Amino acid sequence: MKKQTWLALVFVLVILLSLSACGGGAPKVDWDLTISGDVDSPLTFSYQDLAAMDQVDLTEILMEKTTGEDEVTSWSGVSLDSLLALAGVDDFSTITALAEDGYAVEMAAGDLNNAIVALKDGGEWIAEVTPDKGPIRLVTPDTPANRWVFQITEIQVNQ
Amino acid sequence: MMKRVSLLFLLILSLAGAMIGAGCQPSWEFGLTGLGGQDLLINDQVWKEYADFAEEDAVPLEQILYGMGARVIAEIALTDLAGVQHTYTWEDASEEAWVLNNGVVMVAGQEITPSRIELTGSSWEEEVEIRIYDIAPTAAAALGIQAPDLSTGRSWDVEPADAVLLLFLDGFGYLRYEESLADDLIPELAGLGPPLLGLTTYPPITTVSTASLLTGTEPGVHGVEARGIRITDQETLLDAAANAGLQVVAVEGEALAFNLRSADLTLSGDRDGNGGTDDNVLSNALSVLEEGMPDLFYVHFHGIDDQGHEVGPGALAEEEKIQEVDAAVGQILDRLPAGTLVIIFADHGMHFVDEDGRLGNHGHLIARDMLIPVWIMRID
Repeated sequence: MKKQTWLALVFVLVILLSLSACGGGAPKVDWDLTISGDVDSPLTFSYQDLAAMDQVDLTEILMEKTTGEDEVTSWSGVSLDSLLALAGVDDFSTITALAEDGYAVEMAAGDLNNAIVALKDGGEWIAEVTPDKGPIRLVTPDTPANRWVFQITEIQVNQ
Repeated sequence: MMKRVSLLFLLILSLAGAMIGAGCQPSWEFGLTGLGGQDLLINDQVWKEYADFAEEDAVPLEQILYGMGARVIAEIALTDLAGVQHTYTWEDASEEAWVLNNGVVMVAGQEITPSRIELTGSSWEEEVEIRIYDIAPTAAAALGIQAPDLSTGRSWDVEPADAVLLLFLDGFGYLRYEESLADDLIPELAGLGPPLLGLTTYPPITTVSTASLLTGTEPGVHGVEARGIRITDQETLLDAAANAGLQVVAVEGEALAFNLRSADLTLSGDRDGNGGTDDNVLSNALSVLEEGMPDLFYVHFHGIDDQGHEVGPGALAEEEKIQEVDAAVGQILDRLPAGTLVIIFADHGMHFVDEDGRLGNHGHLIARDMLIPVWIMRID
């Protein structure tokens, strides 16, 4: 095989490996998350966009449940602060998290410490293990889990 | 040869008959009395009807009792197989009362195999005037629209109204209303006169009660039978009003207790950072009224319930919250236009508990949880 052919094959292999690294093997999911409201620039992130961003781990946090026993759980996803920063938000009083089925929660900025938009629950893609609770879920460690909006589609920022 | 075949045939027939007979016979059963003079049976077949509610092969006894017609229980007496009677007040026993799939009843830490259970209903039950199912058809009648599709509630006798306000006082049960009245905590509500004695649904928790409130139906119909279910497929009052071309507006607390499909929704998070949201609910409700009373306006104050859970009914912080909500009710009523029908109600009550992280809770067939005040009045 000619040297050019080898180089071309290596190049294609590198590209393929890079693409597969983006999103860490995330499942193909048709889902968008919009950041809107009092923002400089409203943004919409696809599921693949979110999967390709830096992932933050929340390890062994308390999931305070309204039914059943509380659980200690671990989640991974994109930090809410980074998403808000990309939309040009530096100060706000509350956010309103909206789910696809119409569920909504307004949360004060003080309740959002270390909040993430989670894609993984216990190291597994939410979209694969509990699709009815995903594919993405807002996880706010400072609040009870009934504020952890699943099937989240929009985050409205309120000044 | 023929004789052997006949014997074999008879043997198989007998075995089959025995198996069929065993299949028809309940493996366990016990009697249930005290529900309207009826003698009922609870057996393994009945248990299976409630198996969806089971946790580790144990169905909440209340779930079965509610399905058989119990609404507000005062006392329960279990007679065991030796004829010994075990009697409990339901306020004490309801937190932990289960029926196992072998017919054993676990109640207040004891395991009893009963031959009979006798219920004593609360004397309050006979005085109930209105059910939470009646509110949606009543509001619909005032607005001149059809009640929600599957509503089985009874429309209260009301005149046509220009608009309807549903004012939702979460967790403010009837007995707490009476205590608050006696303690002079609620001058605004007291000024409205005595409310109707209302009955909510089971389990008396906000998601289930709200679904019953808005659909005018039982949980078995609207499908919201436990916490964690936040939407119903059935038509709600809000849907019916919106479909009729009416303006439907809702002001909620920081989170939706139940999806308010068809409403123009405003949430009321703690934007001022003072730790509560009822002031934000009031502010948002007054803003709506400044723009003009919608045809159907739904306002939900959560604070009495929140404080009740945290500090328990009767604690100072809960009393202060009752006073705050009472004052808010007064401010809203002052700004309503003539011709508005107002329905003020609670979804459930609250009883004292001593659990990790909470001193109040609700969810049982007891007077404190099931009885609610309902005011129906017209602004003229």
